Amino acid sequence: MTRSRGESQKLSARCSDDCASAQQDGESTRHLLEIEDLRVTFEVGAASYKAVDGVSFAVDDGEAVGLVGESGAGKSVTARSILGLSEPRHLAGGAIRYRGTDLVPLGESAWQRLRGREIALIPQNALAALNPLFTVGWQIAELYRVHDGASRSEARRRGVVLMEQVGIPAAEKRFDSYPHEFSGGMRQRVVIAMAVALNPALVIADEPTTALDVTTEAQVMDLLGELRRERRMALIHITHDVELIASSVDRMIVMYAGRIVEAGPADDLYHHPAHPYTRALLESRPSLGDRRKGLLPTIPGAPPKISDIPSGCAFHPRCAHVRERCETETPVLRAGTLGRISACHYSEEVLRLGEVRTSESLAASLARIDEDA
Amino acid sequence: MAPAEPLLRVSNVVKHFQGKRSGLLGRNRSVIHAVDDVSFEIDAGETLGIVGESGCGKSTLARTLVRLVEPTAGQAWYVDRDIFALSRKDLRAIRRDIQMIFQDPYSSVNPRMTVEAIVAEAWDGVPEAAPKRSRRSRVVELLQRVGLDADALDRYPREFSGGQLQRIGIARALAVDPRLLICDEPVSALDVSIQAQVLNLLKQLQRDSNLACIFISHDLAVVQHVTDRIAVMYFGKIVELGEATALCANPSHPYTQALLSAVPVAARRRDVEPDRRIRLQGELPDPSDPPSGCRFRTRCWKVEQRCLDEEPALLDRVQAGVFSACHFAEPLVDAAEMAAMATQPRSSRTQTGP
Repeated sequence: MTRSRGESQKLSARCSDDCASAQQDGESTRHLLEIEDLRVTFEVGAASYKAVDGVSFAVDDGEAVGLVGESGAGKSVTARSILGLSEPRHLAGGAIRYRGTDLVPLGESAWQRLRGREIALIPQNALAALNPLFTVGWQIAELYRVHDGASRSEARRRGVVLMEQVGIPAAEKRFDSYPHEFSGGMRQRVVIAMAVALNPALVIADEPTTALDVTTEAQVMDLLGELRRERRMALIHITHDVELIASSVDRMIVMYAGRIVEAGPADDLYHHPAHPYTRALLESRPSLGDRRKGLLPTIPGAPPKISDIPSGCAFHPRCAHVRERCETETPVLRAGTLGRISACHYSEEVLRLGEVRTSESLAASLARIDEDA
Repeated sequence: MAPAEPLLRVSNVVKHFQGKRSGLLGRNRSVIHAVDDVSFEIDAGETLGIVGESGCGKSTLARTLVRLVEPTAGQAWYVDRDIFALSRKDLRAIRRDIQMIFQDPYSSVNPRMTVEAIVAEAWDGVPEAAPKRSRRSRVVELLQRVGLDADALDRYPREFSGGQLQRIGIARALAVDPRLLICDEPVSALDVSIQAQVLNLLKQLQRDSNLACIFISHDLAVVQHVTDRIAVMYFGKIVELGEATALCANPSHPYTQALLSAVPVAARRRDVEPDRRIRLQGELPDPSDPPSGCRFRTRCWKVEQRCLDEEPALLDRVQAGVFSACHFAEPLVDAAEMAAMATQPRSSRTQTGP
């Protein structure tokens, strides 16, 4: 891919301002993004609710991380914090270090320089993210005009190139169309284009395909993968669908009730989960190629409400491995056997259960299809 | 046809909507082809899955069957009566037998009614179904059947989670002892850990009461798991119809193959390279101007002149019991080969759509 003209300009800009001091350290081991003990609390009247409760993880340059969880797990709130979109009064503690610099104390103008250029967001609902009163092209070109000071014609030229790169056919013509004139899949391509326009080092995709049909979802996933490889972007992919991201991310982080319950390489976590929640989640999904038609294994109950998070391990009322200890003692995220990181007192027991059935039966059925061929 | 009469026999259902006005003084009105000439049968106790992407007409089809949407043409024989020809009064009796469960549990219950009132409302049209005195205890029974406690009776919808509300919706549907349940994306709005609970509940209910079920979903893995047969819809038509496991293991219509290939499957990681998967090109055609011949031809990699001229009929072309509407239906050969074909249309004679 040919690098856009803004690239070199941008690379120099990336290290300016707030990141300058950290950059001089020149450490090679430093993470791109490091979140440490992030706490986000919402106060309603006298009550205070912990939406994110001590989350720590890191993302390296070019790495793809999947952030998995059900509604209320705290994944979107975490993402909003990384983008500086959580109101400061809700940030109850923790650090968000980007290239070594803590972003939490930054003011709004510093955040504005960072967003889009360093860290960008791909939202779930493209229709809500785009302004219906402006053409799609104008909204893309605006990024170049505001951030790079490009002229109108220059911004248009680069906008069209970008639209072509994200696979929008007849980009020159579509540049002047309005958001409602695009299909769901094409609109998602537009917001992806806007996210990558300034070549950010980190893109956060919040359920980017949830509103799409499967065939369109597959196209968008392919596009994300291509862009990530070409531009060497790091990606945090937020989703409720483990199956969707298991083959496209390097690492997965599973959240439950505002905390990380398990983290690890995507393949390991998918095939040999070390936390009962991850395992139960994987087992409860029917899988294509699974010929068994009986009842599905289920997780009893429902994810807890933020106002009513159980004591000890938040998952204990729904857990198949629950013991007395789990009701009182909150398990810490620890490295256990096989280097697996899990917040369960009994993660070794969970690991010993072996491979999750979905993958086994599926691999068998894929092999069958290959044999038939 | 099976010797026993099917519970529901749908033949040649058509639903066209009036589209946008155009031309001088808006005298020309386009016609949106939502459902076109769809036929299928369901036996008592059987589950039929209807799969397709948004806009393929699957929900419209379901709604015409209970006449929430009036069909343009066709027949739907419920045992010995044509639902489409019934008067409003006779329709009531049929609606007791055919109940619907909707996608969004929050918007399908009245937030100002108690759970008891929501479930008991099902008896409004059929007072003989439950005598007034025993209603409260009947509601308790129904709630227990769907896995809720009696203390839910006097509570309001806002106090329940999505999964629980969906159970309440199912209890309401069961109140009138239906024989056919039409479920329109019943688990799509639910959390992953809750989906399995609701799917199991539906399955148990079907087994216990010999309920027939039309299960509409875009999620192929879910549909394959819960149904006996699957109908795949594309652009208002059934393109493939057959036994669920056989159809998923060995799809013969190019659209079904593409759909299955698009399902995210983590275990494929090592086995199939990304470029060996089929990726559909382009988008759905304009619904007011369907392509001639086969409707999938504008996105199909097998397209030839014949596909433009002649609409393929739904026939069991490849394996017995699986019906495919493609002139060139063939079993899944090799993913790589198909992917190669997908990028290179077989014939250069034909012009694909704009």
